[in-house]
Amino acid sequence: MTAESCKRTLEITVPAEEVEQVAARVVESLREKVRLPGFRPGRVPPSIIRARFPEEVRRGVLDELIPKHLRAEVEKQNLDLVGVPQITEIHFEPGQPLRFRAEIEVSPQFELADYHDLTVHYEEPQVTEEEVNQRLERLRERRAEFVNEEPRPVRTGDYAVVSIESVAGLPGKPIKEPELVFLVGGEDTLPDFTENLLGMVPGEEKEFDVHYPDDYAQERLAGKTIRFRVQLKAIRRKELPELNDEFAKDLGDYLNLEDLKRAIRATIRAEKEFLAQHKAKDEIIDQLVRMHDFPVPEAYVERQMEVNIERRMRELMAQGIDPRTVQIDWERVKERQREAAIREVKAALILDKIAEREAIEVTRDELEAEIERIAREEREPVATVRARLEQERQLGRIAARLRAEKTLNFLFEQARKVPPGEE
Amino acid sequence: MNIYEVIRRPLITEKAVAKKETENTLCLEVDRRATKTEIKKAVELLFKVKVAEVRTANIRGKLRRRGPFVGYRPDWKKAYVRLQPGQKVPEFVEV
Repeated sequence: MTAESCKRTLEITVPAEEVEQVAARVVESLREKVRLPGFRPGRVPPSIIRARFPEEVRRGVLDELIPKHLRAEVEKQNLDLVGVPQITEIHFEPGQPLRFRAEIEVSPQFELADYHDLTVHYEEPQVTEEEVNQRLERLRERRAEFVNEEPRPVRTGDYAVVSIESVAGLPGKPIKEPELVFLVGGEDTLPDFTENLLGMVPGEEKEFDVHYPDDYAQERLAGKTIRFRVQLKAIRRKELPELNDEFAKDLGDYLNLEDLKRAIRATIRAEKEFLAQHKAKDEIIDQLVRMHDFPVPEAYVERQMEVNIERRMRELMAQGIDPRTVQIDWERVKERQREAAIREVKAALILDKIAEREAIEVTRDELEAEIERIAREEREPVATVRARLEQERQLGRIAARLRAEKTLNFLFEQARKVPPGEE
Repeated sequence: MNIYEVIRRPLITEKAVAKKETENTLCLEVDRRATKTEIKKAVELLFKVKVAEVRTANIRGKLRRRGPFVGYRPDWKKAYVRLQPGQKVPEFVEV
């Protein structure tokens, strides 16, 4: 099937008698409202109304007849209308039939290709011992405690606790911090600090210059050389908790270290599985879109682009950026993701059709579970969220999304899986 | 008197519409100095119709008060112009 457009043009004519009838009704309703000097309210003759308010009469008649006859025609031709019809070429003259042209878009008709025999690159994810250990190390780091060392000269790897005061080189308010911690020799510590702190003993006071690189994050300091007076107050050492059952219990509901490892393994597995499945499903969508060639209604694409842009804006907002203040040409961004939007719309239409064919439905319970999930995510009571979604008429959309997800899962289950890298 | 100055405006009121539709008669505000003959000529010239009869009435301006000030609206002349049977009545639209 080739890409014949989804656009249709309907030429519709409404017989003069019907136009006249409606016009008379419109005039009658205007009569009740109109006040004209020389006439008592409600007594203005129809002929005067028509002569004085042609625009109002025209609008009233068109508002009633165009949607009615458009709908009738769409039904007669058994079209699946999407989007908002464009009405052009309206001929409306008293005593004549009303003619207009409606440019509409219809949902594309297409035959499903065979979707039972898809191949995707997917492998059950494996979790290595090393990955588990890495995750454990990170947990240990997070639980690390700092312990004071006996007074001795500072060595690389120590955490030096200092009080610091800028004495020269910095215009404006001087820096004065009673307690700062530097990891001597650490990546995030400026070399000037490391060098000068090395060998100091607690209680010692020293003045030295620190040069800040030009790209330093704090603009006030970037590129400057500042003289600090620094007193070393203490040396600390980072102490990682021991990896044992105690540690596991401390972290939460784990019986022992083995239990914790099992949980970590499961988490990593789930993460990997999610990613791998996501990729595989993306492949499925790619294949489906390639297998089915059909035109996509512009209205859907337009809406999808809007939805995507909106999502982008919300993401920005979540990051604390006000989308209105950023200089972004949203129209251009929108156009640039047209291709992606077409793909998404196609995927949705195909999945919808497959769902229909396979009788995949979303149950009440599944919908309910999803609402609960959203409620958890937004930290709102379930009832509140449900009421809001209902009011915003989102439930249908959520159900549609769940159905698409289920269908995709179904296709994924059915697909032949080959390890990544193989053909 | 200039014939184009005779007719000042059509009257569009319930009464005027009724007369037009049932009695084949136009209602006009005319110059106060105009005579019936002049009115007849003016209507025949401007509306391209045959006039059967012209009746006129002098209307006194109404008393109007605005606070302490008392005054009158201008007096004017009204003309009922009956057309000969079969003459199609011109439509006027309010200006």
